[in-house]
Amino acid sequence: MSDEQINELSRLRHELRTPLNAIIGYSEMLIEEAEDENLSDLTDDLKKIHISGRTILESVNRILDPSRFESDHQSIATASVHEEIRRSLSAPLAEVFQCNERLLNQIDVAQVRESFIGDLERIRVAGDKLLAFINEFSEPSEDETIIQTILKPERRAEPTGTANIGRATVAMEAGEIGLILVVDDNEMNRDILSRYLKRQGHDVAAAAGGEEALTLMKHRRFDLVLLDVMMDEMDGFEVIRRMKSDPMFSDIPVIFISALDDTQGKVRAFKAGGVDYVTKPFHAEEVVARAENQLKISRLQRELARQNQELMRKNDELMAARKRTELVFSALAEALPGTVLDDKYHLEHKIGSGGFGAVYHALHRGLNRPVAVKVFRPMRGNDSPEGLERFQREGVSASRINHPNAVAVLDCGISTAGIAYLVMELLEGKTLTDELEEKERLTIARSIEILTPVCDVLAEAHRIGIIHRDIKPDNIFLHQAKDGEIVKVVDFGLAKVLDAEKGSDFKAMTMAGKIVGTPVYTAPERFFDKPYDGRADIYSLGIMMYEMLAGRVPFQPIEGGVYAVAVMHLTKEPQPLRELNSDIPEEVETVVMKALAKDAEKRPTAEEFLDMLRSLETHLS
Amino acid sequence: MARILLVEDNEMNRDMLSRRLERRGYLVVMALDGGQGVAMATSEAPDLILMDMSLPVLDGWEATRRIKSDERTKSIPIIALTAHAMSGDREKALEAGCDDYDIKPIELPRLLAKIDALLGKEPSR
Repeated sequence: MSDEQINELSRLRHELRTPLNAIIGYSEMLIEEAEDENLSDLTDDLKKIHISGRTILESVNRILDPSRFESDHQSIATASVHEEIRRSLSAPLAEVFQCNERLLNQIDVAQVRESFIGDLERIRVAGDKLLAFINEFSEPSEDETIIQTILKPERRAEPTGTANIGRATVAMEAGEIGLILVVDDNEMNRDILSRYLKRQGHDVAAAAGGEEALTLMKHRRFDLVLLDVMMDEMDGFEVIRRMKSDPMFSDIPVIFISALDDTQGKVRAFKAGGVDYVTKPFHAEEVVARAENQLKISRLQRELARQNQELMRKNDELMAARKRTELVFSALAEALPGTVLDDKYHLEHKIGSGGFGAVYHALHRGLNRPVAVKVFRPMRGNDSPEGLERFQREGVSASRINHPNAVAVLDCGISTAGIAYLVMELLEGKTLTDELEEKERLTIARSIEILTPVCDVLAEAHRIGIIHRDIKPDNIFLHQAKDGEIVKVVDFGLAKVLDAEKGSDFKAMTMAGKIVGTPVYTAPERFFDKPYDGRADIYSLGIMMYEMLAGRVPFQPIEGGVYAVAVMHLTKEPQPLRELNSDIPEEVETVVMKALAKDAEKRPTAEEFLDMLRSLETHLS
Repeated sequence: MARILLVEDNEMNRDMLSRRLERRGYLVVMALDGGQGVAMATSEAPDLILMDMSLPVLDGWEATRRIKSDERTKSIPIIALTAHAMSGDREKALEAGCDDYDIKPIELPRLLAKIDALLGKEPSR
């Protein structure tokens, strides 16, 4: 080996030594600190950095071992050594960047000592040095930038300083630009797609085969994969199968690109989990447009997930607050019997309680007539002067519905003691909830018998601009009058009274927390801060009808509570009624499903639904 | 408490090694080059010296020779630290008067074992 070569070897090792020392040393030191300070959630990534650093060191020692060049008569400057260095250092270095980035985003600034972040920054700087070295060392070539993108995660806008760390994740989410992996064993295809995508500002990595693609995925979090189907070593279907079976990759969208344009191939691709399919020969422009479309969808999904998370957090907070109020109120509710409201209503005994408060059997002292008095629990909607005024206004509006199947509201007010109350006609009998509890399911005839008057009331209410907002079996009363049963809808518009904030009903529901329970009967559009109309009531009616016929509601409150049910209303199709109850004719199922349309525009109005119920009745009898 | 003189020109290595030794209860004093290392071997009277061999001004080999040839300091054990396991470095270090030898990047447990052996202590973690 010539002196020149010995010097070159020594120079290379020297260049690599300092950054490697930093990566290995700082990560090891941070592992010790993290363990000593009980930050065990950080040690995994730190250990990965440490192991990657060691791996790089071993590779460097192996590749640049002087004895190796003596025996091989090999020149250090050959392309194969370049390639070897590049190949062996890329993956572990990518791992270093990725873990480091994750740690910087994850650590709680308040929790760690200041030097911790500084040390992570040092690791990052050392990684940059190694990367610059690899790039400088490699021959300038076409795919150099690809290596660059494979290796380097997006830089955060302001990489240094502790104050920025919390913001970093938010900034990274913005924009439609993504990190895309192009997998194709044809070099030209790979090249064309990569160039096009890069020109649009995307970060692109390319892989010539399935194994390589899966390896790259382990090191970087891709937003999208463009996947060739016919590849020698491992075909596209096998690649996606492996992706879908690994939770790390299963949610990365895959667009297939294939020369096969038969329908069967496409169907197979979609069944395998592909989100889109492009046939070869492709127009790069089209592929890019489709890719960007998928990126947009992914971004929207992420946003939705984040908002939901936020809602869940708020819900937890509200639940805690509600619990306290509830304690106070239940004490009050027990103390009320025997008292007189506004010198008029003598509360005798409690006959029920629900989300809004408690209902008492009472006596109107002047008329000596029994009435029902609903006393409201204090909520954010009725514990302020404006809230109380609003309550009175809405109470009046609820009493505007003059219909034999709506419970008659006789009076409402705020007692001098500040208790909000509503006086209604006294009903005898049971609610639909009780009937559903007695019988597993109801017959079609009985269901229609109950729902027709309910729908009739809704049609009238909607006509004068009142939405019930809380249609559910608890609010359907099967009143036993002298000459038979009369269906009575109770609590008209009360959900609105209690939803003082101008927000989605979701808020109102979560405000009531456990008390109102999960939004089992709530229409999908009500989970957003947008106006909705009476068709939201029809959806609830549909859920109720489903429940009456099937014996259970389509979307059961399971683990995850409010949130899980909301997501099901938004995204899941109910199990076909006829699978649960084979006696149900198809036309009945069709009517129920119309009411359950996710899109309110596609749902019938109360009037239309009333007609459907009536024609079912005629038809079936 | 054992006092260690760390002679190292690289700021980063100095930072890491000193912090890690301090965490283990050593008192660490630092010199940035060979000349300073020789001077501090006398003025600080450390219990042990960790000597990087590639130092500016006066390299570690020469600094070691001077410390080992001075009556006041020759009994201080020195561990040579070199960047890589070039064949011959070990012999060269021992020849220059070093008591032991280790390579960078530092593997702390291994280095601690060597430190403890030279200080005649029970091995610490």
